[in-house]
Amino acid sequence: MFRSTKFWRFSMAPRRNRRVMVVSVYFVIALLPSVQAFTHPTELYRTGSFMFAMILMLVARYVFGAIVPESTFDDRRLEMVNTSGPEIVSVTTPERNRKLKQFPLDPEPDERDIAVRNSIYFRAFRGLAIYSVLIWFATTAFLNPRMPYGIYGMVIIQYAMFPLMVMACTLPQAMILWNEPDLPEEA
Amino acid sequence: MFYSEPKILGVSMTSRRNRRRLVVITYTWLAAMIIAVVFNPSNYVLSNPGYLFILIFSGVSVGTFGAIVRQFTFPVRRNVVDPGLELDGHNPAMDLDPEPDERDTKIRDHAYFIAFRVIAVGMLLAWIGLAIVTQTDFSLHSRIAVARSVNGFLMPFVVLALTLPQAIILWQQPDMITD
Repeated sequence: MFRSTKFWRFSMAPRRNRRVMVVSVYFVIALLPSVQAFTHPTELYRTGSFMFAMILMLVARYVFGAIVPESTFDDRRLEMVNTSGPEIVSVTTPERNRKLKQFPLDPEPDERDIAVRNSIYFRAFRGLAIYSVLIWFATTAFLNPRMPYGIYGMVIIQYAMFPLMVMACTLPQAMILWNEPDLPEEA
Repeated sequence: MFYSEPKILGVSMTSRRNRRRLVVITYTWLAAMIIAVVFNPSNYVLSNPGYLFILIFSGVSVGTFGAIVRQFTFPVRRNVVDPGLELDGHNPAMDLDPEPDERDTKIRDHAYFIAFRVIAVGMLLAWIGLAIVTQTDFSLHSRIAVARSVNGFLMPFVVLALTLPQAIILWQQPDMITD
């Protein structure tokens, strides 16, 4: 389930540290729409802000992914299988060893890991589904050109869509980090 | 996981083939409705009952799938019934769905895992699409266009959020063993 119990110099074995990390990451992500709301409220999805939001998502995935592999877009580091034929490939080159040391392969998840992961996805899906249905109703109401919300209807929807994307990209990892109990420290 | 001997309009859903047909027919119908509403040139958000109709049909789909397999996405409030209670020789607790056992939980969670991946990828694409359509100016005309686009982007995901996990279970589970 876990790739490592360390992030930078910080031990992520205690659940408390992992929760602090999750809160910190989400706080940083929340800063973007907050700052945007006070400076240029109608430009959350303009090119610069949008690219910045994408970069934030990638950073969040990297930070969470340093501890627990991400399964939604499957970033597990797996051994490449040679399917072209019985070609003998050297597997012990110094370069490969160095790479493996730097980026160790993820082991296949065992039965418990799969059960934990799927259970987390079940809960994450419920959150995502309920929120998306609510957003859709809000969209229908706020984006109606005959209603007096004007441009602010669109702006409200843009801001409401933002957490949906954050949830889709990072929620399961964050929930695993948040929920799993304290881990034994690495030797 | 499944209700015993499920039937939809008299057709037995014990075989996987029939269940897959049901899923394909339901999604084909939903897709056709979404396309008809989104590409209807006279469409105005809220002024067109099409979206409402799609939502109602999604609810019917959830109910149809729900006649075969329980839905777990939206919490259903159940009255607490005393297991020893009997009304006219009938125990109301028998009418309630039992808590899923370990195997059911495993199947359910796996279906939600797949469903989340599908929805997440779709949401990401919708987000990028939203960013593209909101690059336009906010004149009244473009606001209508943007409103339509955003609603159109979101509609398939709302439908999938409502129905996909049940559909995955119906699609994947093997033929039921009947007496």
